[in-house]
Amino acid sequence: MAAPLLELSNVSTHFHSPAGRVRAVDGVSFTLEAGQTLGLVGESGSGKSVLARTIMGLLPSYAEIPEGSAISFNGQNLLTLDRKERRAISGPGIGMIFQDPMTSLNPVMKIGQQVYEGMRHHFGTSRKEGRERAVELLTEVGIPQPDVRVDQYPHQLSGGMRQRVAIAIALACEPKLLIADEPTTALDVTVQAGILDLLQREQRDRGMTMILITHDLGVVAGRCDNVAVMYAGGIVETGTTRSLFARTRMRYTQALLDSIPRLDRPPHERLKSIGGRPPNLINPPAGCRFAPRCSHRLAQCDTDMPPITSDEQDASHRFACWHPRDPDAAMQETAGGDAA
Amino acid sequence: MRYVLKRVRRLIVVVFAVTLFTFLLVNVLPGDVAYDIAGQDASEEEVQAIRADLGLDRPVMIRYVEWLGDFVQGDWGRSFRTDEPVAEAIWSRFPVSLELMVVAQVFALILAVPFGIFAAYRAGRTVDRTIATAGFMSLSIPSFMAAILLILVVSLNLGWLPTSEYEPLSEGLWANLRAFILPALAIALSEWVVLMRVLRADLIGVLQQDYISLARAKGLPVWHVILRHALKPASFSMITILGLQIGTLIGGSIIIESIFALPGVGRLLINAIYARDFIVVQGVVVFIAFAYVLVNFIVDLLYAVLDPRIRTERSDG
Repeated sequence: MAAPLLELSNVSTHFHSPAGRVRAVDGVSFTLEAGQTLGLVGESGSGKSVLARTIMGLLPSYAEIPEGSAISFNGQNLLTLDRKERRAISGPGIGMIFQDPMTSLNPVMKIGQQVYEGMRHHFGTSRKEGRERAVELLTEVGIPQPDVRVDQYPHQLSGGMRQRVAIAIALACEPKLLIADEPTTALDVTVQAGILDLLQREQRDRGMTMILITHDLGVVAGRCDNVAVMYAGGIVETGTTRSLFARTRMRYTQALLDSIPRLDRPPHERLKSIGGRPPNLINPPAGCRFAPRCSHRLAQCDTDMPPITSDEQDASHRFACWHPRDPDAAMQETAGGDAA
Repeated sequence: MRYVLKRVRRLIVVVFAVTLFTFLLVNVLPGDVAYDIAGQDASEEEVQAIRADLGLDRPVMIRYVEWLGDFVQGDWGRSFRTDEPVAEAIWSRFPVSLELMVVAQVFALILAVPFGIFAAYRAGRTVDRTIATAGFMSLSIPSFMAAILLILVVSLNLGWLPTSEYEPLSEGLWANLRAFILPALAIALSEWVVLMRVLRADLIGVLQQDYISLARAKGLPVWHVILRHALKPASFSMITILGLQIGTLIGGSIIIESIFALPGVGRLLINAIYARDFIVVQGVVVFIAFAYVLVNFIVDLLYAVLDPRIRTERSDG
């Protein structure tokens, strides 16, 4: 396979706060081949959004990316480009969709203009042509009456429609990589699937590479080629979607899976949740960061950081755990539990 | 439409309250216009005669109701002293005050907008603190002090502009405008600071919004993001303040018009107060109240121009 489109090596993002240095993202590495979709999964506060903003170059001024971090996109290290070179990549190189379409569209600017202004800036598209392209894009993302909507303002559209507009905005400059940061979290359940299907279709039709950020492993299944699970600023388990679901090794990933409501469970059953809270990222635990909340903790877990290990059957399936689940034994375990 | 009616109703209440108050207040002042008309050597009988002639010997409330009756019918009365119709006196002086206000606010905005943007963009940094310090220095100088300093430096020492030579517009635009530069600057030097500070505060808030991140994610240059995306939604408080300032200035600036000998509404008012020319005072007060309410009404309409969400609310309601 050719060189990966996106390669993160040892990327960290620290925030300076009065209480100390917050390690929001801590030594993340992964590669993403062109045309693939990566699901980035984790609880709130696990660093998913900060990582997205780090790749996108949208960090606030009090953030710091320590030496040794590198984000290689299309062969260029995004962290060493000057501002102008970096801006040339935002739009035609990488596009982004934000979590809440209620706040991510400019309330005082017409929808059409928000869609085509990126094209105008990057490609010098004329206003007239831009408006035509905006209508085409709005049609493509499934907005009814696009020729009317193009001259309307965001508040005249519903949340789902606004997120479709946000997708049109991101697609306008035909990015090679699309980062969708929890694109359905703020939406009604009834429109979530529609938005995800749209993203999947666009990704396939355009041969785009995509990072789909979510806290819902259920969203990832069937839509992503690979999954990376984040916890407390680091990636704790990563692999192909198939392997990750079939042979879950990391206890945290299993806990996330257990917390998804399922139709095959008895109704009104109490949902499993993960007890405790994510660790303080100013002084993270010395050992495994999930150890304080883990039900299978060993003494070693509290003192030593678990190394990244590969699964015996699939080397691309990697995880960081001292006491991983045995996927083959677990299968029987669950089966026995169901029978009882 | 219903909105406009609501506004008109409020205007009527404001004018009624304001006129009643000034009428009573001016009557509390010792002395009246009769002394002024009669002159220093007049006897008490002569003064009484003039007073009776003008109807000033009747109770305050009766005079107020009478004045209000005339006013409602469009008669603003005539000056006790000069016999000039009050409405005419105001209208002939209004353009001067209006021009002073416009030039002053243009200066204030020219200072406030770029510095406000700069301070917000570099919030907490040296540039921001320097602008804040300069602003508060500028604000702490009273406008009459600023006026005197400007005359001293720009007119007397440098000789660039005249000290006080009002020329009507018929004498040419530059000749006319020239006389307004220093007085307008004296006003603007305190006004711009407030505008700059509220713009800075709002802009800092707007720059943290998701839609600003989205605009940056499109790869747009910083100046484009600030001017095209952030400035408009950040300018509401500034426009409110601007409206209040315009409302205050539209009735003329008494101090500045006096220092620079500009024949505006402010000077008309202060001279009328000195002479106890009640009916002129009354007219000017009503005029200022009208102007104030009108300006704020225009500001409200401006919100709708800036924010499409308000437009929809209005058409729905």
